[in-house]
Amino acid sequence: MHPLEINNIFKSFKAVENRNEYITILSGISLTVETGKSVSIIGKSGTGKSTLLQIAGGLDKPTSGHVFCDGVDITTLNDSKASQFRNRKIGFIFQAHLLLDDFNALENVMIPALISGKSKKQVLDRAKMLLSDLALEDRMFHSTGTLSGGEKQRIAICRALINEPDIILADEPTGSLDEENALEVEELLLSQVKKENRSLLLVTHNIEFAEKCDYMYLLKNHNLELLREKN
Amino acid sequence: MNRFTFFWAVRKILRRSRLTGCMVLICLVTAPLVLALVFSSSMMAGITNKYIYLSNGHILVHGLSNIEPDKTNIIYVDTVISGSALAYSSDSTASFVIKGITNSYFNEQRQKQLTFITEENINQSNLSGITLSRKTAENLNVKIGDRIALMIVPDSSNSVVAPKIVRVNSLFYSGYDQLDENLAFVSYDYARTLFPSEESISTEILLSNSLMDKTNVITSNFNDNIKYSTWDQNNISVYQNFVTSRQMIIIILLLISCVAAYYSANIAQQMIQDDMVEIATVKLIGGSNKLIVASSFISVFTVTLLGVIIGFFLGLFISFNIGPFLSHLAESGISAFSYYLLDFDITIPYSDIFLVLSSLLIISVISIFISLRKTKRISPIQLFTSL
Ligand SMILES: Nc1ncnc2c1ncn2[C@@H]1O[C@H](COP(=O)(O)OP(=O)(O)OP(=O)(O)O)[C@@H](O)[C@H]1O
Ligand SMILES: [Mg+2]
Repeated sequence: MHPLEINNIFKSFKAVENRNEYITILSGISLTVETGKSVSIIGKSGTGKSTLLQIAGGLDKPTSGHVFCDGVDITTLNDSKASQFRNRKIGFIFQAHLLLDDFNALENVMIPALISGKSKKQVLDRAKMLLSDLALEDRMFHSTGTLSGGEKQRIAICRALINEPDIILADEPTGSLDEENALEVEELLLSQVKKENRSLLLVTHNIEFAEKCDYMYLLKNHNLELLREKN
Repeated sequence: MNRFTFFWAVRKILRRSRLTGCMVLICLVTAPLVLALVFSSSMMAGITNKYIYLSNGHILVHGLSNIEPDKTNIIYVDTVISGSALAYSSDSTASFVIKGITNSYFNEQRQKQLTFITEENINQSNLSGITLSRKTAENLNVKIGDRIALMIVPDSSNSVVAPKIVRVNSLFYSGYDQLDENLAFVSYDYARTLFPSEESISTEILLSNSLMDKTNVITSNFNDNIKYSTWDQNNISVYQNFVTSRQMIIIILLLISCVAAYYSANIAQQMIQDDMVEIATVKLIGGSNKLIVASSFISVFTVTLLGVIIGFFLGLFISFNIGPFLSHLAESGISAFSYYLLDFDITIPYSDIFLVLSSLLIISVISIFISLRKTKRISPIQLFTSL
C-alpha cells in the first residue's frame, strides 16, 4: 500500500457552449508516490496540474480511472466520506495560505485536528512543535492578519501536517512569495516532510524547487513524463 | 457535534461586526415591540378597569339583591341608583348619568381609579351636592361651590319633570375623560328622590381580579329570577374594540417580527457570501457541510437570541420607567392627549410577548436555515481556480 497511487486517470471537461464536445485534460495518467518520497510536477499553465491534484485529493472525480490513498479508492467515496478521509489522510497547501482570520496562528494549525474530534489538549504539543520546527515559535499567538506572506504559508504547512497525513498535496505553495521567502518555505517544507517521513506531491512553476524532490515529472500532452530521479 | 463547530461560532460572534450589528438591530426591534405590547395592554386593562370600577362593576344585578360579599370571590356589593340627566350652567349644558351612591361606594379599589378634588372652606348650603367630573365642570364652566340646574329624564311616567338646583361639592377625574364626562355622583338618598322608580335601583358587584374573565363562575350560582349583566356585556362596544385592537396589534407586531427574522436570515446569507473562501477551506481540510451549517447557524441564531433577550429587558425597563413620564404628560393638559388614558398601572402581557417573540425566533430559525442551504454549493475546488 502506498500513500498515493494514481491509476490510469482520464479527465475531460464538457466544452461549455456545446454539450457534446469534450476537452480532454488528462489522458491515462498513472503515478505512485511512495512513503517518505517527494514528487514534483511541472508544466505549462493550463495543462491540468491543478486538475490532477484535485482528483488526487478526492475533490473532483476522474472521468475514468482510480485513485488509491493508503489502499482506499477515494474516487468511490461520497462527499462526506471524502471530506472525513481528507481530514485524516491528506494535507493541502495552496498558493494562497487560506488561513482563517478569526483564529490565531496556533489555533489555525489545530483546526484540522479539532474537526477530526480531538481536543485542544491532545494536539497542543504537536501544534507547538510544528510551529517551532517551522521557525514560528514567537508567532504562535499572533492573529493571522498581522503576519507576513512567508509566515502565513509556513502556518499553512503546519496545518497540513497536524493530523499526520499520509500525503501532502501542494499546488504552487511558494507562488505568491518573493524569492527569499520562497526559498525558505521550500526548504522548511521539504525538510519537515523528510523529518516526519511523509510523502509529498508538489505542483510548481519553479524548476529549482521541483528539482529538490525525489522525482520530477513534466505534464505535457495530457500525460506525465519523468524528467529526473534523485538517487 | 464537532468541537470546532462551537469554537468557530463563538469566534464569529466575538469578531464579526455584522453579527454585532444584527444583535443591536434585533434588540432595537424587540424593545419597541415589547414596549408596544406592554403599553397597549396596560392601557386597555387600565381603561377596562375604569369602566368596571366606575360604571357597572364586574356584574350588574338589576334591582336590589341579597348577594353578600364573601371576601374571596365577591369582594364588594353596592346598591346604587342611576338615571340620566341634563345639566345647565349659565354658559353651557351637559348630559351624563347620575349615580346615587352610599358612603361605602368609594372603597379602596374604586379610590385607586380616581382622584377627588375638594375645597376646604366652601360655604354651607342647603342645596344637595353633586360630584362632577373635572371634564364636565370644564365643559359647563363651573367650579366647586357653583350651582347647576339638573333636568332629570324621568324613570317612570308618573314623575313630573322639573329642574332641580344642586351645588358642585367636589370634582373627580379618573384620567380617562371619555368615561368621566358621562358620570356624576350624588348621595343615594338624594338620588332616591330624583329617580323614585324601583327600576333605577341596581347592585354593582366587584369580584377579585382573577375572576375578571370568569364572571360565569359567579353568575352560574345566581337564582333564575336574578337579572344581571356582566362588564363585557355592559360595555360591549368598548370590549369588542379592545379585542379587535389587541388582535390587530398582535398581527402587526407579528409582521414586524417576521421582518426582523428575515433580517437575521439575511445576515446569515451575507456571512456566507463573506466567508466563501473560509467555508471552502474548512471543507478542504475535512469539515462537513453539516459542520458549516451548524456553526453559521449557531453564530447567527445566538446573536438573534441575545438581541431578543436584551431587547425584551430593555423594553420592560422602558415600560416601567415610562409611567411617570406619561403621568406628567397627562397632567400637562395637552388637548391632543386628553382622550387617552395615560395614567395606568403597567401590566406585563407575558403570553402576548411570548407569542410575538417566540414567533420571531421560530421564523428566524427557519429562514436562517433556508439561507444556509447555499453552503452546500461551496466547493473546495473553487480554491484552485478563484484565487
Ligand atoms: N470545471 C472546469 N470546466 C471546464 N474546464 C476546466 C475546468 N477546470 C479546469 N478546466 C480547464 O482545464 C485546464 C487545466 O486547468 P488546470 O487548472 O488544471 O491547469 P494548471 O496546469 O493548474 O494551470 P496553472 O499552471 O495556470 O495553474 C484549463 O484549460 C482549464 O480551463
Ligand atoms: Mg493550477
